[in-house]
Amino acid sequence: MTYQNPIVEDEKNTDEKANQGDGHAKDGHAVDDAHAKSDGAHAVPSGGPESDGSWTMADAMGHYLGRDHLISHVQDADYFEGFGFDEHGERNKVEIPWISPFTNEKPFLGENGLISIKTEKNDFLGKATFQPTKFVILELIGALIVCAIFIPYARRIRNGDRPKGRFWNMVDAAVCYVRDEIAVPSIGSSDAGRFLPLVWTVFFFVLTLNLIGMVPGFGAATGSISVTIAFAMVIFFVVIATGMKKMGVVGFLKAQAPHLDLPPAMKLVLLPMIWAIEVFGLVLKHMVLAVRLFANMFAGHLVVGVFIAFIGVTWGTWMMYPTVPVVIVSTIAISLLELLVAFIQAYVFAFLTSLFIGAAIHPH
Amino acid sequence: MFNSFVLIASEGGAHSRPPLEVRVDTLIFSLIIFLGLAAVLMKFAWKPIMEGLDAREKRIADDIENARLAKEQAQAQLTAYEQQLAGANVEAAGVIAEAKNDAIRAKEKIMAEAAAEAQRTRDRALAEIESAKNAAVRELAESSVDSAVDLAGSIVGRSLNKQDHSDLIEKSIKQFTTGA
Repeated sequence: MTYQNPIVEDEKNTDEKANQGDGHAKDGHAVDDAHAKSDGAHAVPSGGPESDGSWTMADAMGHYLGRDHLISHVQDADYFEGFGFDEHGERNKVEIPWISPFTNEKPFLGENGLISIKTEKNDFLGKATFQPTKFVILELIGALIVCAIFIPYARRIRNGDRPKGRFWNMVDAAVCYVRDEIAVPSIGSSDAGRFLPLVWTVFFFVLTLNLIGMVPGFGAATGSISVTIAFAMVIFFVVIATGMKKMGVVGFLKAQAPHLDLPPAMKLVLLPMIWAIEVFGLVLKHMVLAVRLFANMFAGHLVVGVFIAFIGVTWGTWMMYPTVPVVIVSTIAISLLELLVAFIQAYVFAFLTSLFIGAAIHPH
Repeated sequence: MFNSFVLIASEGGAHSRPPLEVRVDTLIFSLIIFLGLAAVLMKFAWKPIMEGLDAREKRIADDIENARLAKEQAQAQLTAYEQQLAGANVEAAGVIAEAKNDAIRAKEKIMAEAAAEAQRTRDRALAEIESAKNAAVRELAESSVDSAVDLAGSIVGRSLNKQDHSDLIEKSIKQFTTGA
């Protein structure tokens, strides 16, 4: 059982396939059908690990279901996947340029200052290249989409008019839902108005990023822990600032420890420990806010990736005939679930944001 | 300096970073984008939306209040109209009853007048009849007396003078009247 490089095979057997008339070509994974049927050859993107460049099914599983292959399709990258394949059988990529007005070198976040040129010393922070990644571009696109929807919507209802049309009524229903079912019950009707802009921004931006992740070829920016931590940091600082504004710095810090009816000696020992645990819990629950959103979006797309990878594993063998329809149906089902998860996670993120703010305003 | 998007082939195989790896630059970009989006939306979307929603709520509340007032006003008018209607019914019943009474009284009056007129007519007719009868009787008696006098004169051979004649007539009328 051997695999053949589809690109090379495609070029070599062009004439042969033209004569046979049954050659397959799909997304560059072309395979000589007759050859595949005769000895079970698989189409893989490049020469296999065997001495003659062929692949076994185990090799294909290792490749398509391998961590690198799966995660590289789900996580953030410095490029968008393009159309077609290069001479190595890898997908062509649209590199995202880095932009710096100061230097042609990629600026790095290093120990010599906020922005410095990468050296061997600051290589440990080599990831901070200020390289706009795929998810950063998608965040920008998401932000533009949110602006393109809500600024015209604001113009339509500015004077208290009712929105007209199905789409604007849908937007209106969503806006009112977030206000009436998420922000007001969690924060309280008297204070909700001050935090509504944040809750609306969180909900609709996260939802838009989640939905962009449903578009093939793009990705969910919320499937990156870096992105969700940024959102959670904003929430964290808003919660801290709100609490301190309401109760004062000392009052807010004191309010972190619950009231204890204990003898003074025990209080002296226990209170600092409990206070430390509570403060740790405050930080932790905001971290969990980030991890929850990231994990849900990342895992959902990974599951879709695993299903689709089965096509690659079985491509060119008889097993692809039962596998492909099952994978297509399963992928559609998982995608529908992902659609639900996109809304649920946006709801959960906005709801927890409101709850944390509400808890900061009304500590007990 | 500003690189353009270029379609290039990858330099090697796929390589991945740990999923939980935090990219500081992506985090900073995300912070900037999120805060920038929040600022833009705050000015151009959320603030007008909140004003619009508040204005709509106020308008709806005003409409409801106006509807409540209009309903109360309508209810009051309805009650007044119902009272007026009830009064009108009573008044109409009174008018009808009075009209009936008037009609009855008019009828009775007309009937009484008619009866009186009929009685008067009857009495007059009877009087006329009586008068005519008396005249006829008188004329018959006079005629009879004359005939009888003539006959008796011729029988007794003498003529009755005028005084005899009158006495005889009177006597005969009395006898006739008594006899009648």
